[in-house]
Amino acid sequence: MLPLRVLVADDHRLFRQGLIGLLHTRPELARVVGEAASGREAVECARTLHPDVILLDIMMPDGDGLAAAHQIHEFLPSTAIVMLTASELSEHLYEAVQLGAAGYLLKSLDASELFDLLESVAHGDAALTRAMAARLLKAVASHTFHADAGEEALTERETDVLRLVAQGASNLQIAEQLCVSVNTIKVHLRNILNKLQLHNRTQAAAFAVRRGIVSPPPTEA
Amino acid sequence: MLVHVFFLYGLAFFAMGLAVALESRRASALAFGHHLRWLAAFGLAHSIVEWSDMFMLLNPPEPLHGILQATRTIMLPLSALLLVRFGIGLVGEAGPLPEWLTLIPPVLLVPGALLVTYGIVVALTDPVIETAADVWSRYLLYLPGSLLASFGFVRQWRSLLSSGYARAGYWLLGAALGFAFNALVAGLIVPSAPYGLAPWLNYDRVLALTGTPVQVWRALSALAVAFFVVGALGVFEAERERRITRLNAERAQAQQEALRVQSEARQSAEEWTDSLVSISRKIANLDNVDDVLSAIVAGARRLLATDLAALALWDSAGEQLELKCYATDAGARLSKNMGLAQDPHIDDAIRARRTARYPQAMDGNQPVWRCPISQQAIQSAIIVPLQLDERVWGGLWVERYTSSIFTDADQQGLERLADQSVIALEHALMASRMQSLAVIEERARIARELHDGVAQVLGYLSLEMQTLEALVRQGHAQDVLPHLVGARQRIKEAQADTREGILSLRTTLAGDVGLIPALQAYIDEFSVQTALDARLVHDLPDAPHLSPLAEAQLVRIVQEALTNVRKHARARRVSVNLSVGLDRLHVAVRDDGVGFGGNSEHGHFGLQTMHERALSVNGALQVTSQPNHGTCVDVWLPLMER
Repeated sequence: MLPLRVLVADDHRLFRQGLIGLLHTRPELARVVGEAASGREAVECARTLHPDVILLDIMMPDGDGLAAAHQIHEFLPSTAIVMLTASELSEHLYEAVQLGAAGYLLKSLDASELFDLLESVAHGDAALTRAMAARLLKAVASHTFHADAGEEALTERETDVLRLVAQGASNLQIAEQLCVSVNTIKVHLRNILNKLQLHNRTQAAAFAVRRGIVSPPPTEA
Repeated sequence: MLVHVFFLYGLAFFAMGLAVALESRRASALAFGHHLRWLAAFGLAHSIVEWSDMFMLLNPPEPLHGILQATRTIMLPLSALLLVRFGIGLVGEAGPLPEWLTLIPPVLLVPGALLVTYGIVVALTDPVIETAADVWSRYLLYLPGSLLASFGFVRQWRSLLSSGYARAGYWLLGAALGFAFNALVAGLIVPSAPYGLAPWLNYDRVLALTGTPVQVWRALSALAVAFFVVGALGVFEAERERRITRLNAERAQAQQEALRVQSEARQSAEEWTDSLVSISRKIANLDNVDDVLSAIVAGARRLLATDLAALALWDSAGEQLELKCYATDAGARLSKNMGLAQDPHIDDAIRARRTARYPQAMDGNQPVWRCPISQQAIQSAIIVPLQLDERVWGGLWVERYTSSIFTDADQQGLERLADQSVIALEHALMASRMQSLAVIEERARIARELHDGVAQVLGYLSLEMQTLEALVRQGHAQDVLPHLVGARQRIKEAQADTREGILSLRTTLAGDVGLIPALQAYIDEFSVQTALDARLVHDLPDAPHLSPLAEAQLVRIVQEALTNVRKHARARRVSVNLSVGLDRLHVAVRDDGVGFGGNSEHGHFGLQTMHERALSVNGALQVTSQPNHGTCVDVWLPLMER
């Protein structure tokens, strides 16, 4: 398997440097192909480099990360966009999901969380780690979906899959729990996304929370 | 010889009559003056009698002698009648008569009437009709006339004495004695005749007793009367002088009064102006609003001379008036929790948004109520609501415990003070809003600095530690060292940033020590921390008068410019120059570093912030730089008028 081609976009040079240094320790998983210091630069780099993953800071001068994510998603729908932020503001997380971001990482991230996320992207799972799922559930609980799709009813099986997705389970874990093959789960997932007119499993998880298919975790003190 | 006597006799009365006639034309407030015309007429008429006698002595031919005789016979009783009229007028004018005198008319009416009838009958039937007429004219008319005149003069003498004309009074006393003597010699002493006292008291008897004809005594009495009456006329001159003196005194007093009123009005106007100006100055100087309100209340009490002045503001719910401050003659008091000003009169006036003044009319039908502060009975008061546009802040009122009336001017004065209170309150509200805005802005700045500074370094270090851990675990020990060196360098930089951030936070409190000492301390400390040669250069005698906001922004701009120098300029020297132009302060931060071209990578973000800071206080900012020729940040800030 080829390493993921990664674009790092953050206005703080120091943080960029640290992140790149960390990614260098897993050359078989990720290869940094570009750096950007603003939202505008990130869009330009994405257009020329076609990376597999973009680690995108939200608060940047000259075009913030959310606007950049929206633009990039338009012309690179298959690229996994992972938002980076120092804050846990639920508005940002929710908006990022709305705009098609696949994942969301705090800047105080653990290396394992970053690598888990990249590995799941590499396996085609799109990105939804357990920690992210918990945060997402909390954030979505206090919001409503603007683009409310999914009038077409899901089957009972699909609802089960969606519930597990929303809890942050990987395709393999879901397959084991439901005693079917991973490919079956992938089919279910594609059907769910089509029916709900959603782009990725993160959005599907948010939908599940909103519809009460899963309940948000208790608020952390 | 007798001719001369008669001439003198006639002349004396004639002169007196003329002098009195002239004097009687003047207006006088004295009772004495009101009947002078009768005395004048008597003098002139009687002089004709005497002069007729004089001419008859010269043996004039007929019919002149007959005419003279007839004239004399008619003029004697006529002149005597005039004298009676004068005497009665004088007596009656001098105030109420003594009780016993009022008995005389009824008592004497019948015998008097009988006597008069007898006299007239005798005089008309007597063969020597001229002598009989002469005798009865003297007994019945001249004698009472002279006595009445004498009595009148005595009474006038007393009344003049009591009104302060002592000298004139003595002249009147002389005239009274003269008339009394005249009554004797001209009223009682008659030609020898067979009736009345004439057989015993007549011309011949006088001549025999005194060796002097009675005409001489009469002439002497006439001279005395003329002398004293003319002398007494001086009272009118004295009266006029006195009146002029009094008028002058009154005029001088009126003038003095007018001057006093004028100067009091001027002084009061000056006091008002001084107070209003001093309060305006307090407001402009951003004095504490409590101090300003205190000064207004104390001013209201003093300027309106009231027993108490007070100011109350609506509570936050706008339901109750909370007493803010009040002033009594014991001084002004101010308190945060002084209690409520619960009083229906005050409450109503403020709710009605109209000035109320008690008492409203002079008729005294006014409400008297207890002051909610002092518990004294309020007799008069003015209550003015504090309002601007739609907003009513509360009210300002003054009260007196004595029943004195407040004027329109008092009300206008208090309304002006109320306007000033509102300005002070609005001003304070605005200032506190601006202050909280400044606090919010400051917090946002600190948050931004923490986010861009320490948070980034910590994020970096966290990633770096995990990198190191991974490298060690993977056995790539040779790659560890460069990471450690880099991390140590970043930590050093973060320490410098943090130290500078702390220094900046401390320096923000420029208000306490003054702008120049605060900048000086900051620049000295900056120089020590960065090992840069940093200097503050200025020749200002004292601190430039900037608004507090402009001062705070200036400190920030200088700090940001110096931070840029430290981080990016690679300079050895930096100077901060202060100079004052006509109406603005010019600050230049100049370094000898590497400079930058048109679009530098470093901190156009920071430059933008500095621009905004300058603009927010109506200032301007310009950055000039050339690669390798240093950078200069120029700031111009408006000075406040002193």
